[in-house]
Amino acid sequence: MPMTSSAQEHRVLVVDDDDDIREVACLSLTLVGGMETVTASDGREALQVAGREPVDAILLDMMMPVMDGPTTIRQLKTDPATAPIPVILLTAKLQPMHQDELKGLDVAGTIAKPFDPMTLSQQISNLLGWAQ
Amino acid sequence: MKDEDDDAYDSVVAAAMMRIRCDAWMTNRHRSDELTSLASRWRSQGILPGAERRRAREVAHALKGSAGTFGHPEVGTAAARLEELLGDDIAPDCDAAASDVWSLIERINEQLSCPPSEEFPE
Repeated sequence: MPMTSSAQEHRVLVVDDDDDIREVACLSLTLVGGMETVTASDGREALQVAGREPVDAILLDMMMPVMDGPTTIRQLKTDPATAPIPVILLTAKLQPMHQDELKGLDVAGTIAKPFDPMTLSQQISNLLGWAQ
Repeated sequence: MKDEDDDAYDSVVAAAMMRIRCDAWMTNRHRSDELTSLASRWRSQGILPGAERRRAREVAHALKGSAGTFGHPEVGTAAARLEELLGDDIAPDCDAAASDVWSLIERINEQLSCPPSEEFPE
């Protein structure tokens, strides 16, 4: 059964251009973690959703068309309404150039792809200090 | 202690996960078909135009993230190598690079011929 603690009250914006990754992440967070989810398929759409709907965290893919993860984070952090939302980057194995790019970004943590859908919600809760 | 409701719920979750994995497997087979098509043209024409190289790299990147998550970690590894090989510094008329790319795509196609396993990778 899903967790019934305070994690259930959390709403996470899942941003990934891959439909299957987005779906499995949402399934994991809702069915395993007892969270709520909203989705976006690129950074630009994520900015719109985050500005329109209350979310407690953003799970953001690093490499996406239209607007990539780092650019999206910078935009989120310039808007007072979205700046406080913690962002977790979802990324494939980091190349050195990407590690340098991440250094200046205000992120709550990173989760590596491939991820285990059965433990994804726990990883997010651990990074954000949410009880599960 | 787990009760019957827990077991039933776990079964629902497992079935939903398996459905997505099958969808992802099909998506990734389409991706490997596209890579095969691009690499075939590269082999037959002896050159890989920049736009096609960038497209192949995008497809390899998508395959890397998806295949590893959905039960084909070895495909994810091969796709990661493919993404590296298709970087900006690749020579568009390099036979050796084309050969390496072809080998990786053959490996990816072979691995994706099998449906995903039931367990998610650790």
